[in-house]
Amino acid sequence: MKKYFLYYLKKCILPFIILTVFAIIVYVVPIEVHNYSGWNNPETLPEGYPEYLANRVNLYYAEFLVSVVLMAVITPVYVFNYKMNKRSADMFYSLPLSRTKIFAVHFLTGLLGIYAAATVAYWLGFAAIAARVRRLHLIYYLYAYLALPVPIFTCYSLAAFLFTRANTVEDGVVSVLGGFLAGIALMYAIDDITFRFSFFYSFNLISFTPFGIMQALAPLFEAAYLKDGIALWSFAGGVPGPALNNILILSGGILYTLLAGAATAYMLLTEKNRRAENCEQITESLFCYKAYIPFYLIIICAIATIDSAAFVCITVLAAAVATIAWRRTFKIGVKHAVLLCVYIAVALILACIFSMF
Amino acid sequence: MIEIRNLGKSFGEKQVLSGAELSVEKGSVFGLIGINGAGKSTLLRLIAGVLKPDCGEILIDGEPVYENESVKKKIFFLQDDPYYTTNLTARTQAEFYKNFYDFDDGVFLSYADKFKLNISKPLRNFSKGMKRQTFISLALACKPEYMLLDEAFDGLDPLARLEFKRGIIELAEKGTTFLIASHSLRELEDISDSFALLDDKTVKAYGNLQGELAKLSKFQLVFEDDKSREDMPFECLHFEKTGRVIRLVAKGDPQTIRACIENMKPVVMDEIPMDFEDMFIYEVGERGYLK
Repeated sequence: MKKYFLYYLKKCILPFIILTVFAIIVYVVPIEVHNYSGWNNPETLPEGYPEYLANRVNLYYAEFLVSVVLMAVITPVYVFNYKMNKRSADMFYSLPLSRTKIFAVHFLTGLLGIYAAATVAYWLGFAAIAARVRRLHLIYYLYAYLALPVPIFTCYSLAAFLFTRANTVEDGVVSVLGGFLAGIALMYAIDDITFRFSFFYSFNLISFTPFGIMQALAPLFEAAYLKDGIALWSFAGGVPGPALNNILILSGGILYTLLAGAATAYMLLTEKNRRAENCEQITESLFCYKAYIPFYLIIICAIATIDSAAFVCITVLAAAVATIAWRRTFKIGVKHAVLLCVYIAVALILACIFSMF
Repeated sequence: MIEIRNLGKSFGEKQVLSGAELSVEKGSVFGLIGINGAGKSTLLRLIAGVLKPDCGEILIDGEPVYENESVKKKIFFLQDDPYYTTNLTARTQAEFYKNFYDFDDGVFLSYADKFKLNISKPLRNFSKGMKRQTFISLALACKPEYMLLDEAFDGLDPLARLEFKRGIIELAEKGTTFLIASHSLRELEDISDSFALLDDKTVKAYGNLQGELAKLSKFQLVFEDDKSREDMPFECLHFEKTGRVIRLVAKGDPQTIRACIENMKPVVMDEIPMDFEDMFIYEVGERGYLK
């Protein structure tokens, strides 16, 4: 296993370099191109300083978050695509290395790759900011970096879990995107519905994603600004919004991290039973079209009011297209046609009910 | 030794193998034959540990194969359409196999040289036959105890086939067991000492190839009077009549069959040699395939 791990790690160097360049482009380049003139001169700072400075740095952190999330979504496609192709699955599963070990090697390599790319981008970003802004207390960047393995593991593990539920690369990508956005879609719907019932509460929707926990690190960036010698740091204090959001970020982060741990354990424990014959077949997993079509159809229709009939029509059409993509034929069969009609009916009924409020 | 007991495998609702029983002796060159869709590739994938049996067991040297690393180290499975990535070269694939097998660079390079392969060139630029030659070179260099070859001769030119067959015989003499699924029955006949016929989701027949061939006799006969299949006092696998000329394939002791025919006093009696392809055609053809 060690021999194959070292071989595979070496083989992945080039893709990881590409990944690093990608992270640098997303995160570091915007810092480099920004005009920092006046940042170190309080007289020329925009109104609202120091919030401006803190928010500006947090915005860069958001770009870093985007780069990590994108890497977490892309990497499983590269390291686990051997499972999605009959020929490659046949070759890998016939090798004298157990499926669990092959999976573990690929999983660990992907994780290390993202971490390495994120590390390079992170410290280059740090260097770029540190070179331009003198008034930040940069030690907090080290704290944020030390906490970084948690969100990287969470995003990557969940993406790996969702991707490997599918039987083809395309279905895998749908599975990851659908899974990552499921929490946010659900909470957005609740947000919208509660608004109709007049007890609206503005949720921090990013909390309901696998990468929501990264917001918990954002305050560390904000804390980097020292006011009167005291760090402006309080847990999640930098996130705009009511105090409940701080709890949501924390609980969402813990929930998704626990889910990621459970998903990793599940993948490792069940990998030995992975059926090679399912490669390239229609994905019947609940973490793909089968559940996502009714879920998103109902959620989106539920939050669309009757005066946005066009939006409802587009959603229904998208559900039909998704069903065709899932079954890979226009002849989706009676069962799936009936199911689709039932989902549409339920979605429309809900849309009508909620439009009354 | 490979032992297969009561093996069953289905893909969804489609049963591919059911109650298959088979024994492959160590050091033998075993031909696996059957019509398209008979389950040859599935059986090889099961033996290679790629697929998990629904029921029954596959034992290699007395141990189950599925997810058993020590047993799988003895096996090399060469698919009918081996996997390779866009920029993969024979050299890089050799590096890959070195992680798992006691790869012999000398064997690999000698076959690559015999086949005139450029091992630094991406496989995507190779013809189908050259890709096959590359993977055969890699497979032989892995020096497994059990070599599972799916559509082994597919795409190879006659000279490459000859070289490959020589390699198989050479390794078989050293104790390597070959299990070869192929439709090239003439090639199999050259090198196989035993065979199995897969049909109707199971192993219909298996055993020593020459022994099974010896049980079949093919005759061209002409009788003075009109004869039908029912007049033959032995089991006929095939009976074909054109005018007074009868062509038949009989199953049983050849001397007894010959004596029976002689007793019927044919005007003309020619015994035609049987080969593996004839055997396959008559065994499977009689079951109604492609009729």
